[in-house]
Amino acid sequence: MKRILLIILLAAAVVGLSHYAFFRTETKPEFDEARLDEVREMVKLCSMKICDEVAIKDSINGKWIFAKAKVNGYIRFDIEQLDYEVRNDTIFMKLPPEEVEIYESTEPGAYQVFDTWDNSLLSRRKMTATEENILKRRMADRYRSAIYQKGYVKRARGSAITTLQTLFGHLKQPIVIIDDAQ
Amino acid sequence: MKLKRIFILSLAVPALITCGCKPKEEKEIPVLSELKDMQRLVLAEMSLNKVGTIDDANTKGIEAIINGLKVGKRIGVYSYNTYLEAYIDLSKLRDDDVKIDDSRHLVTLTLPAVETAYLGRDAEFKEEHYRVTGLRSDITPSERARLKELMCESLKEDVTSNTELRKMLIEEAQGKARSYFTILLRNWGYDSEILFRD
Repeated sequence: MKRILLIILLAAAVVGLSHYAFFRTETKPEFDEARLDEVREMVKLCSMKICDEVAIKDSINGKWIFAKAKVNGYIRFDIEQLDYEVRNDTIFMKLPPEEVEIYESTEPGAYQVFDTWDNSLLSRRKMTATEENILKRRMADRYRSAIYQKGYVKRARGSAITTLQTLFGHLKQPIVIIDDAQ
Repeated sequence: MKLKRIFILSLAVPALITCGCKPKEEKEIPVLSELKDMQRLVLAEMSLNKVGTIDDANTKGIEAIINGLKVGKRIGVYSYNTYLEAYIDLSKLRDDDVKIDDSRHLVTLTLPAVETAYLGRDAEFKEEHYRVTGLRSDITPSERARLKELMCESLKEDVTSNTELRKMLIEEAQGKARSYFTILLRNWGYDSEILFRD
């Protein structure tokens, strides 16, 4: 009886260790020090920042993912491209087209994967990094469209005009800012 | 009788192990949305590249021994960019920051101090190298997400410890502000002196 119990316990231990050894996939990561890639000069007026948490439930090649991403959206205007002319001591400026930029947040937990699965019988195919990147690009495109649909861009353009009028008002210049988009 | 006892024990052991497992907790997914009107004049942007690796060769101790027993190898090398911006907050600009001397056609403009902030990072995670062989399982999206999280923490430590990076960005921004406003005011017929508040 004791021998049989011992055999069962040993068998369970061997099965457990084998499972851990062969199927546990965690491997310790290693990092290089951050490297400076580029420094760009610019003069851009940022009139709106949108912080959002976006649920991603999407598929590619029969593989699914359910994740959450914290995104930062910025609506900016390149002031160096500002067209202006002076007429009778008044400066007439045309607001340039907006630039809507989407980034993933740098806050902790900015991208979390809750579940992944695939449509095959044994459901063992894993989503590759390339496939995941395609889904993230789709998410960013959808989010950019949503920013326009919600009227954020229109509000940002109005806010930019007010800011520029205040800025150039400080410089004591009579100024009229035209928004072609409205 | 003996067979009956063996059979009962064979069922009891896995049942006991299963009972020891914690029930799956329902994860709440809070949704946050925030809209901020801003008056930032962005003058410079810096992109920093970070590379991270998932590799058996990095393991130590018991983990290294276990990995040695496994058939095959796993290595994945990934990178992405993080962006910092340098800006002046125009809402901090006051009336007395602009002094105009019409007789000399001179404008003295004192701009708010240049500040820096993280814009964000690339959503996409570039795969620089990937090799999984033998009986090893593929690197999963969850593992990549955890790696990116750790890389982000590490990058922030790199930026905090290397003060030269922020200093370089601020100096670029100040130089750009000086040249932009000098040219703008010159076009309007003024000489200018561009200063920054501390």
